[in-house]
Amino acid sequence: MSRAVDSPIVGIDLGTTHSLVAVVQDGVPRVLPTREGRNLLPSVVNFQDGRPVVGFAARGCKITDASHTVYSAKRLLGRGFEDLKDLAGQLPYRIEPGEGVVRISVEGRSTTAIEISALILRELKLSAEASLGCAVSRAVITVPAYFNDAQRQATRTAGRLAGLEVLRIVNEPTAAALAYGLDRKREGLIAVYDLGGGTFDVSILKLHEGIFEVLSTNGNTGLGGDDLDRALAAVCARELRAEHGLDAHADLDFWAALLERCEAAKIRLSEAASALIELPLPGGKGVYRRTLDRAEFEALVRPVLEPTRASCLQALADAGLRREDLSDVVLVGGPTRLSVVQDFARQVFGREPNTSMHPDEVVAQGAAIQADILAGNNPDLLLLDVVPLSLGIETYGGLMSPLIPRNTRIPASAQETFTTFVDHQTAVDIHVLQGERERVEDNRSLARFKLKGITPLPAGLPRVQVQFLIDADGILQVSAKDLRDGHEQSVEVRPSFGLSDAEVERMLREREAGAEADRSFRTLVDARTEAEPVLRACQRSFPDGRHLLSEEEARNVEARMETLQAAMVGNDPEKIRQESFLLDQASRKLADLLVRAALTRPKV
Amino acid sequence: MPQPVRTDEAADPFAALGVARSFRIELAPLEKRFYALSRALHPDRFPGKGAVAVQRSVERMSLVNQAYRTLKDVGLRREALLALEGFPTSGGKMPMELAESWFDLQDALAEGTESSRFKLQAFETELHEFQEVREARLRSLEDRWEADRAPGALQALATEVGVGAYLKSLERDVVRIRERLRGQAS
Repeated sequence: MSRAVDSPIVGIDLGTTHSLVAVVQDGVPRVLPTREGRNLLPSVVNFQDGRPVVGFAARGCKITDASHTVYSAKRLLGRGFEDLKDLAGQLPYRIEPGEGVVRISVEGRSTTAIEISALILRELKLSAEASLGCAVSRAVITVPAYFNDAQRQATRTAGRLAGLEVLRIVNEPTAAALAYGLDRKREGLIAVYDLGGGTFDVSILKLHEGIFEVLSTNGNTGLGGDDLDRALAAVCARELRAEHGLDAHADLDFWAALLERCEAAKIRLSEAASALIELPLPGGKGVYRRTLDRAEFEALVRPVLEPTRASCLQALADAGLRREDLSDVVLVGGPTRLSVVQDFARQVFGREPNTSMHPDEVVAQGAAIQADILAGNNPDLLLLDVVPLSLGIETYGGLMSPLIPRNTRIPASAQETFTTFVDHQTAVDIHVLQGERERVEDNRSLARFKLKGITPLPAGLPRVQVQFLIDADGILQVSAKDLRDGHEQSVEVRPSFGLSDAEVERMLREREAGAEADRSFRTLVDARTEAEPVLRACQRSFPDGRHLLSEEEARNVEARMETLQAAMVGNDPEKIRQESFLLDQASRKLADLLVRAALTRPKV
Repeated sequence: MPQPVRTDEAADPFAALGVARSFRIELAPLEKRFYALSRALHPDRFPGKGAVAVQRSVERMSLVNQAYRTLKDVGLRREALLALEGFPTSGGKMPMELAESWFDLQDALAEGTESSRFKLQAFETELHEFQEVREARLRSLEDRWEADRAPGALQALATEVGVGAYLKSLERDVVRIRERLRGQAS
């Protein structure tokens, strides 16, 4: 299959604060530069006259243009408005209730976390294409291990909207373990403590002869480095109210600026003993200034980290292990650079954590390795993962009856047979749940579906067998069969927190409309790719051959190199082609002279 | 809400993993076998081979995973083997040996007497001893079947497993009572 050769499968870490794209080249995972020339793409989208800008350019707008800038959208994926009420006051952008998923309001226009994520993924796709010089249409995308079905579905839908075939959803700590295990050639039992921007995961894995077997996982999809910033900002907000009578939340731009200063202070404190938070007050009413030392910072942060302890202990218990059984504890995620986080992990696991892997890049590297496995290039490696939360159905009395317990290896399946409880009933409603609690309302509602077309019979006689199948992405499929006649039953699954099929279709159509923009960008990339070798060849040979040219010719070549270089930074493909042609013309004589000089040089 | 009806469509976990039907399974070779099957059947081994092949692999792998989980766990393995041999386990009753001190405890609790705490302690001791004796009985019944493969031992085992389920619920009751008494004390 030539397609597999032509189009590499990329690995994408779609993060709360940063996203990355990586690919395996010559057996080594490599993070690809973004179109901004960086390894990290801030997961921030700014809308300028309705047109999205993604990355550092958008991150710069977090403060100057807060109301048009969306970040941390990952926290909203697969969730409803009710879930996020607590977060609503903390986010500098407005969220609103909507059918299924929560809506984000940007200048009166409503969008969703799925669409925001799709814009980020699309930017990564374009970056990978520019960097690799070929089309990229297939990807492995990572998600927090503790993501539920709705959040995984949302991620897959975002990939589809970005024009990517999502070959696999991989859990972030599992991906990290893959990169770590391969890089360090380690075997044994390891714990991955993964504190990201907005989510926390812990996974326990067994590494043995190329098999990466997840034994258990636990976590919190609403806890991350962002919360550390917010803990600092809350202290500042209290002081602002007391000292200046100012409501820090009232002004979106001010709140965003405060959060950013707090984030900067946090990052500074990973190295310095103290950090200064300094911020002009709105309306030119002076400046808020405060020094934060490490001890105070750590005292603020520890309670935020505390819930991760229970997750770690539960994961160990579910794996049937004691912490002494572990051979390694690997730290992943930007916030694990902080000494307070490292101390916390050290204390929980009773051993020195391993910080040797790049905390921002290791997940993307792991995703790229999994992509390489799926490309068939790595037959010795295999990931065996688990489902993070129990899957069950609602039964009488509002109770959840578990069908697939948490930490069951995936793919996993369970069958359940249903009957009717009213005579001549032809349909049965089924409510699928995910979670660990007894009462239905304490668990996550995944979907409701109706078994239809049941033969009308006295109550209790029909037998409909439903199969719940969790695939290797951790996503549920449902099928049903009438046991009396063996007929497949129609199952209409209505996700509780997702986009309807109609919505996805509409978004895909809109993407088609955006395809023209994609094509013109492609032309630009192609023009740059073609001009690049012309410029490089000339830059290489010019110093050697300059003396062979007249002064005027030399100056001409120099000027052409400069204008081409300038054109290549710009966005006009025609200009690039033209300049490339002109430089080629101008330097032709130089090339001829150099060839002749080489031929006439006396042989040694 | 519909009430699910349990059906006994138990697939054979021993067959799924290709190991002999037995109460005694060495975990290291079982893991090796599981890894080998995973390497052959996992969906990651079928990229680009079409949706049908992948779906089949998902289904087969889910059965292997389920079988491995069952066989790794002594209790689940026991129940699976009994079901396959035609001795499905059913809910058990209060064992005679424990009945007297359990009802003693209930009486004391109902009257709210001071002796509740001692009665609870006495019951917990008895329950613990009973569990140990029962474990030994289970093992010897299993050994008997391993030796002669005669169904007699299986019948006895099925009854014991039923009792086991009852004991689990007793353990939960004990925890609840202990917490209640502690609440009254403070």
